[in-house]
Amino acid sequence: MTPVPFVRRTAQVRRMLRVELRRGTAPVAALAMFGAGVWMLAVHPDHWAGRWAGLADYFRVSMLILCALMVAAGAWQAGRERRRDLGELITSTPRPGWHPVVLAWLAVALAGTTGVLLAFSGAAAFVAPVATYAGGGWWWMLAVGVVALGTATAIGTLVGRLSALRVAAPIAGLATYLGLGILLYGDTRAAAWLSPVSPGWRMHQSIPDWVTAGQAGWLLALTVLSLAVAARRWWMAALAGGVAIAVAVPVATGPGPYRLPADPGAVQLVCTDTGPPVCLSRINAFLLDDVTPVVRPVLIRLTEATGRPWRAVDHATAPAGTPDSTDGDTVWLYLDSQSTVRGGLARPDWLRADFHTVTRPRCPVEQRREPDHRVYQLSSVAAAWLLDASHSTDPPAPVDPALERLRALPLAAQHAWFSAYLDAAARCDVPALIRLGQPQ
Amino acid sequence: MNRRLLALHLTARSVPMFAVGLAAVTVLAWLAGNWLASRSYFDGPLARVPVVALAPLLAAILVGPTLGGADDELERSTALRWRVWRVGHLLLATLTVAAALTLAGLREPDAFGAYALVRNTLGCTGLVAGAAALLGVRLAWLPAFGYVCAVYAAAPRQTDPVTALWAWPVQPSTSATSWLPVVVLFALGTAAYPLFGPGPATRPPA
Repeated sequence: MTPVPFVRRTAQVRRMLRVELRRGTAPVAALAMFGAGVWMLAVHPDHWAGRWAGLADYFRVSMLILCALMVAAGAWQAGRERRRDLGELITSTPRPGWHPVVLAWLAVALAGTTGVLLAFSGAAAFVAPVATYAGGGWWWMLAVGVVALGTATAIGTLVGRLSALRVAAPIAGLATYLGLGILLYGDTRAAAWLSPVSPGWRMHQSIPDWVTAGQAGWLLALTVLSLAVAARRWWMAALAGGVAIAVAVPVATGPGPYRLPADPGAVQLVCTDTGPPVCLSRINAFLLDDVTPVVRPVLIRLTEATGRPWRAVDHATAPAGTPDSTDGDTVWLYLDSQSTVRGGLARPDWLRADFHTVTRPRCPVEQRREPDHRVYQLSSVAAAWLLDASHSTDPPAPVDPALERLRALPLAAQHAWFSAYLDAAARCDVPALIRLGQPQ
Repeated sequence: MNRRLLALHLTARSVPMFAVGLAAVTVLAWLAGNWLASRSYFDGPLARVPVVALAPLLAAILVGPTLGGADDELERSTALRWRVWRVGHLLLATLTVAAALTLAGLREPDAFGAYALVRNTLGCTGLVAGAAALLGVRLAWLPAFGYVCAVYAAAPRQTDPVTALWAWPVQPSTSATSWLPVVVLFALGTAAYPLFGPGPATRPPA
């Protein structure tokens, strides 16, 4: 038999791939993945808007749903030969056994990935005009996600080849979702790195390059293993299985998922030029123009009353292990879920709530003992005094009589009261706090 | 109807396979429900939303293949009262699933427990039965799978009547409105499947 020339062979493969892309499960997979991508992006725009690293991380968060769909699509495509009773017909052709398996996988993987990337490209069009930091290697995180979609399709292909169940596809999809969910909730180091699903890293953190490369290697080996078993290429399967284990071991011992180093470029400070300083990390700097008008009036009121804290800083820039509470000079702002689709500030009230760390009494939490409710009420009065100067609610909220009494005092007396309150709250001096709450 | 005919019907519809699958789903639902309810960082029994949404869906997907035989055209040509058989088959399957899943949610059955599992069983089997009549047994799982997954992914937290109408799979059972769409879906499915039988997609290709 004359061997088929390479050029002709690749032309044949391209033609078969085109047919698979047009007539197989691929178009439906592309549509489903596009819909799922749009849906996921619409559900939590605050996670990805305005930040490239946020978009890449959300792509990996979405793997929980997207991988399940790709497994289902792969299983549906691979079960086609059984459903149509084509087994004998295919074995009678001179094509090697792995051809239909790999082509079916490739068509679904390409179509599904294209569908979801199209959806995320739409999101990228919103991110591009506002993002203030493009570094941090976020594209590698995205690339590993794309590899994971191929792996999910390969696992689905294997399930579809092995299982004769009519409902193998949806069951495999749901089982994948549950399995990935269990790994996510398991919250172990191995699960964090071997699973394609991101638990939602803070966006200013960076994953070490060797972990990302290891994840890609692990997922690629798993893809080859699944396809080799589906095509009954046992030597190839053994080799891929060995590589998968060899890569998985070091990856599983990667850094703890909550101990990732900060990306120095992402956490560079970007501050306002005038007035009390408001400083955000470079990755969140697109919010600076919206954050400043909310934060600055409160800072001015604070500095007028007590002189401290005198600045508000994005908590992303704080060294690891910095407590949430104010350190005396700085009020920490939390901006991870604070962006609208177009890069505006999503929840000004959350930002204002960050100032509660200033007025909260520093009392140790005691088990089995309820804190004095009078102290809590007073802390609310102090917070309301601090925040209300720049804020009015619509409709107007009922005003606490204690707050009215405080506001009725001359401004210097209000400042003195607030200063005394902060002093007592910092020492958790409950009798002094109760005295401050009594009518004078 | 004699006993042999019933045994043949159950075997032809892969009911033993369904029973094994249902048992597995029930055990998994019980384990997952208890695990979620016992985590200190969750809301106790209120954390069982994934179980309440997904276990009835899985069970209803397993009901799907039992709604059609190997050759539905041949079955239709037999001298049997198929409408009665189909009604009986569907009601019995729903009752079995609901009873089995109820066992998984007996611990604090309110909100996201046994009652919600029963409600979602009715909704999902109604969807699967309706889809079996419309699309055929092969694709009967698709509408229920797509709808419940989409609602679950959206994870709406509101319990207002409008949200309860469309997001019934993830609503607490105490929301009366969430039962309305379920009753309608189950009624439609129970009417359509016996009336029209499994749809055209199960017929062998020409």
